[in-house]
Amino acid sequence: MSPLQEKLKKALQLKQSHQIIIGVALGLCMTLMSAQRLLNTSLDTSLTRKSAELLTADIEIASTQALSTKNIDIISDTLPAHQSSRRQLFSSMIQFYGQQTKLVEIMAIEPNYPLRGQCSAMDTAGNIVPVSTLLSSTQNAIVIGKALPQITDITFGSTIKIGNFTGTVVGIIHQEPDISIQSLKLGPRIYMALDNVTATGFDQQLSRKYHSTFIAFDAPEESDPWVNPLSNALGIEGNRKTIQGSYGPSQPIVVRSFRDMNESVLRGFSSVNQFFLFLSLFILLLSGTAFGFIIWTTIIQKLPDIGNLRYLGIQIRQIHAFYNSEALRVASIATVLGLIMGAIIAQLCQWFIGTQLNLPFALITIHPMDLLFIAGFSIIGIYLMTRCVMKLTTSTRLFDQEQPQRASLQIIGLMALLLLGFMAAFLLINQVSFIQTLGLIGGFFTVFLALNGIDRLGSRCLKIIPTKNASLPQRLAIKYLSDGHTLRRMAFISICFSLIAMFSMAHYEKSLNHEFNPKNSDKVLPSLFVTDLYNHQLAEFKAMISQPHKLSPLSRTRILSINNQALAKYVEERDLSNTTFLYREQNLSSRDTLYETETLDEGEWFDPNNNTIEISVEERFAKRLKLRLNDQIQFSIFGLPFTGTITSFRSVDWSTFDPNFFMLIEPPHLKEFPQTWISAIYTKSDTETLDVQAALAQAFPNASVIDIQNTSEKVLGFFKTFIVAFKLGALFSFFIGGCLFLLLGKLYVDIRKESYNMLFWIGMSQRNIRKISLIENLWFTGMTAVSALIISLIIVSILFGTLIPIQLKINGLATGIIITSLIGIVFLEWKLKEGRNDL
Amino acid sequence: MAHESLPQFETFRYNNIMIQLTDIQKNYDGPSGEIEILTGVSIPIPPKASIAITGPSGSGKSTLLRILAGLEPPTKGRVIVHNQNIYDLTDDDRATLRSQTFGFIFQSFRLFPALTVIENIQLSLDIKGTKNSDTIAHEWMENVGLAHRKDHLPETLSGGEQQRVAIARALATNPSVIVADEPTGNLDKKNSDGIQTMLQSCMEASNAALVLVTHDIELAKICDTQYELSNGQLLK
Repeated sequence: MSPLQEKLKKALQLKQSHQIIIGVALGLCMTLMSAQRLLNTSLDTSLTRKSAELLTADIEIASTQALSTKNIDIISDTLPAHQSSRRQLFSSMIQFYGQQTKLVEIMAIEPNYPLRGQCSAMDTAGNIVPVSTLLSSTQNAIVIGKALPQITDITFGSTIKIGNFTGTVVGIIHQEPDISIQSLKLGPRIYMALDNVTATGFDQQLSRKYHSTFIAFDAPEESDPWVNPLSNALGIEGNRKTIQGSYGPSQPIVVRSFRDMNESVLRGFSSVNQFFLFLSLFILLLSGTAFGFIIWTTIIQKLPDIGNLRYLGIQIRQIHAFYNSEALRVASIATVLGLIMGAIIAQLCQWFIGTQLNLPFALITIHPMDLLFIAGFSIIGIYLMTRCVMKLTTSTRLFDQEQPQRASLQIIGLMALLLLGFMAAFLLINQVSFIQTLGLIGGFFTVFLALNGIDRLGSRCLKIIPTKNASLPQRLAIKYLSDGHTLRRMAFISICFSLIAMFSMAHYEKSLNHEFNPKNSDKVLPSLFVTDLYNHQLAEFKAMISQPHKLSPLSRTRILSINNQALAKYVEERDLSNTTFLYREQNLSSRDTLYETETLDEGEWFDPNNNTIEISVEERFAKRLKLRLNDQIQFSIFGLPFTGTITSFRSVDWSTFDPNFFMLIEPPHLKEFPQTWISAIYTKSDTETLDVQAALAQAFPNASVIDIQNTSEKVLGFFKTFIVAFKLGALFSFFIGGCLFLLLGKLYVDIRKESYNMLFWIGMSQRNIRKISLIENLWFTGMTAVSALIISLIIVSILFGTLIPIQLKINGLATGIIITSLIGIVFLEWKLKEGRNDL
Repeated sequence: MAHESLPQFETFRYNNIMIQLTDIQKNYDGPSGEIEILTGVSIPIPPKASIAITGPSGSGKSTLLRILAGLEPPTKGRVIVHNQNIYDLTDDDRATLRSQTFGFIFQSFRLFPALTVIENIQLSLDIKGTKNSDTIAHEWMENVGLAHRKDHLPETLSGGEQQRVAIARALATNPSVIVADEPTGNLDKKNSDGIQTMLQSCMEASNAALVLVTHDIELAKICDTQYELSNGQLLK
C-alpha cells in the first residue's frame, strides 16, 4: 500500500464498530439465504436419487378402499411386464400383556414388499434379514418398529392382539425404505402379513385404511410412459397426486410415480423452505436498511473530509474506489462467513429431514451456481448500494460542510428502490410467482411510504403544538424534533422495519400458540378421543362408558358438485385459488343443537319443519371454499347421492378437542348412510384414562383410542420447532434493530453536541440539557414503537384475513417487553449520563 | 495513486497572467426562482501577485473560490489556467490541476482529524506525487515551529497551531497559487497577527501568487490588489 493509500485509508475509513455492525447484519442475512438455497438444491438432488425407494416401487396405485377386480384387470392389461405388491396401512389399538393397550400404525404387506429399497429387521439371533422373510417364517409372525420396545416391555416372543388377530413378535425393524404417509404418526409401526388382515375382523369398508398396489419395472425410469395411460385407463380425472386432494367417489384412486413422490415430499417440506425464504427476506430487508443507513451516515459524517480531500486534488473516483473496496471487503467477509454458517444450518436441516424420511446421513450437495448466486447477490447488492450513497460525494454543497438535504433524500429513495428490486429478484429466483412478488414488494413499498408519511406528519404536528406553558427543555426538544431531519427519518424507517418484524412475529407466534397449543386452553379438555366405532357397537359403548362423553356420527364423503355445477366450473366461477379443501375427503356429522362453544354467525339453525336437508358450515371452511348461504352441495357417500342446502355458518372453537366438524347435516338425514361414530371422553385422572383406554381397546379392537395428551405433545413438537424458528427470526430483528438504535443514539449525540455546548455556555444546566435529550429520545422511541405496532397489526390482520385463516391474537407480553426495553434503554442512557460533564 | 502517470502542468504565462477568471456568472435555484450569486466577475491573477477579495458574508466569496478551484462549474464564464478553460477538462484532470497548482488555507483549518499533524502535510505531497514527501513535510514542520508536535493529532493543537499546520500543508507542495479563505477568521488577535506575519513571510519566500478572501480590511492591505465583492459584482 502506497503512503497516499495508507493516509487515505486512515482519513476515510469506516469506523470499526460500524464495520462490525454491517458485517454482522450482512452475515446473518447471508447465513439464512445460503441455508435456504443450499438446502433446497441439496434436498432436491438427494430426494430424486431416493424417491423410488421412498415410494418402495416405481408406481403406486393408492385408494381408501381395496381395488375392485375390474381395476385390477385394467392395471394388468394396461401395463407391460411388471412386478406388483400390495400393502394396507391403518391405525389400530393393540393389546399386550392382557390389560395394556397402545395405538400403533399397522403395515400389512405381501411377501415381495418392498419392490424398491430395503425393509429389514433383526431376528432373535441378531441377524438382519428381510421383514418379508420373518413374516413368512411362522403363521402369526409380526415385526415391530424400534420405538415400541423403547416405550413398552414388548420384545421378541411377546404376543400382541390386533382385533381378533394375535401375533407373535419375531423381529425388530432395522431399516425401512418408505416415509410415513401421515405427517403426524399416532404411534409406532407394526408389520404383519397382508393375508392376516381379515383375521383382525375389522370392517373392510368402514375402517379407515390406505390401500396401495405397487408396480415395479426393470428400472424406475421405465414407468415414465405408463403413468398417464394407466391414469386414463382407470378413469382418473385431472392430475392430482396426493391422498387428501385427489380421490373420492368421483376419483376413487390415484396413480403416482416415484417422480410424483419426489415432488410431493419436496412440497411437504416447502413450509420449511418458505419459512427460510421469508425469514431471509425479512433479514435481507433489515440488513439492507441497516447497511444503507450505516454507509449513508458514515459518508455524511465524512463529507467535510471528502470535500477537503477534493480541494487537495484527490480525484472523486479515488474516493469512490476506496469506499467501494471497503464495502466489497466487508461484503466478501460477511458472504464467506454467511456461506459457511448457511452450509452448517442446511446440513443440520437435511439431517433432521433425513431422519424423518428414513434417509441415511449424507453431506449436502453444494451446487456451484448456488454459491455464485449467493455471493453475487450479496456483493453486487452492497456494491450498488455503496455506489448510490457515493452520489453524495459529488454534491458541491459538501464543501461548505452542509448536509446536502435534497441529494440525501434522492439517494435514500434510490436505495429503497434498489432494496425493493433486490427483494423482488430474490423472490422471483426462488420461484415465488410474479403476482405474489408484486404483492409483497408492493406491501413493503406501501409500508415504506407510510413510515415516511408518519414521520413527516409527526414533524408537522409538533410544529403546531402550543408550547406556551411548556418548560424550556420541553420547548427546545419539540423544536429539535419538529425539524424534518433526514438522519432521523432514515433511523425512524430502519428501526420501524425492525420493530414491525419483531411485533409481527410475536403476534404470529401468539396466534399459532392459541390455535394449536391445547395446553393454553382454559377449558376442560377430553382425555381420550375414540374413532371408528361401528353402529352396532354403540349400545355397548354407551353402557360401558360412565364418564362424561360426547358422541357424534361420522360419514366419509366427497363433494361431487355445488349448485349442480361440476367442481372445476365452481372453482372458476368463485375464483377459488386453493382447491385442496374442495377435493379432499369430507367428514360429515349430525346433531340437533350447537355446542356451548359454538356460535351462529349467519343464517338460521336447523328448522325441523323445513323440507330441505339443511347444512351448517364452519365459517372459516366456508370462507376457504367461498361458500354462500343457500348454496346446494351434492355429496356421494359410498356411492349414494345426497344433496343439502347451506342454511347457516357457525364459529367453532377447535381448541376444545370436542368432536368438531366443518359440515353438520340436519338430523336425521345422515342416519340412512354408512357411518361410524367418534367420541370424546372426559376422565378425572391419568389412571382412569388408562383404564378406559384398555377397556375400550379390548371391547372395540377396531376403534382407535387416541390419548389427547400424547397427541397434543406430538403436535406441540412440530409446533415448537416453528416457534423456535420464529423466535430466532425475532431475535435477529431485535439484534439488527438494537444495532441501529445504538448507532442512532451515538449519531444524535454527535449532531446535537455543538448546540448542547452552546446551551451550556449560555447558562442552561446540564440536567436541563439532558432533559432535552431525554424528551427527544422518548418521543422518538414512542413514535417508532407505536407506528411499528400499528403497522404490524395491520400486516398480521391482512395476513390472517387472507392467507392464514387463524384467529389473530395480540402478543401483549412481547409487545410490552419490547416497548419497555426500548424506553428502558433511553432512561438508562439518561441515568448513565448523570453527573458526567462531557458536553 | 499518485499522479505521475498524468500530464504535469507546466507553469505557463499568458500575457504575464497565470490565471484568468473571465465574466464569471453563477446562479442557484432558490425557493422563489433563480438567485444570481456572481455577475460578470473577471479577475486576472498574474504570477506572484497578491490579490485580496473582500466582501460581507453571503456576497459569494466562497462560491467564487470553489469556481476558481475547479470544484463548481460557473453558470457562465471561463476559468483559464495554463491557457486552458479548466471546465473543459475532465473532473480527474481538474483534480490533478488542483493538486499541482493550488494550495488552500481555510478559516476552519480543515485538517484531517484521523491523521497526525505530519501526515496531514505529507498527504498533500503524496497526492501531488512528490517523491520525498517525508523530508519536505519535516522541513515544513520546522518552518512553522511545530516539529515537536508532528505526531500529535490536530484536535490536541490550539487554533493558531492548527492554522500553522494548514499553511505548511498549503505551501509544502510548492503551488503556483495559494488560496486563503478567511485564514485568521477563527483566531484571536495575537494568533491572527502571528498567522498574518507567517503568511507574509512564506509568500515572500515562495513564487506563488496569493488570493486572499477576507472581510478584514486590515488583512486585505497586505495584498497588492484589492477587490470588493458586493451583490455578486466585483469592484476594484
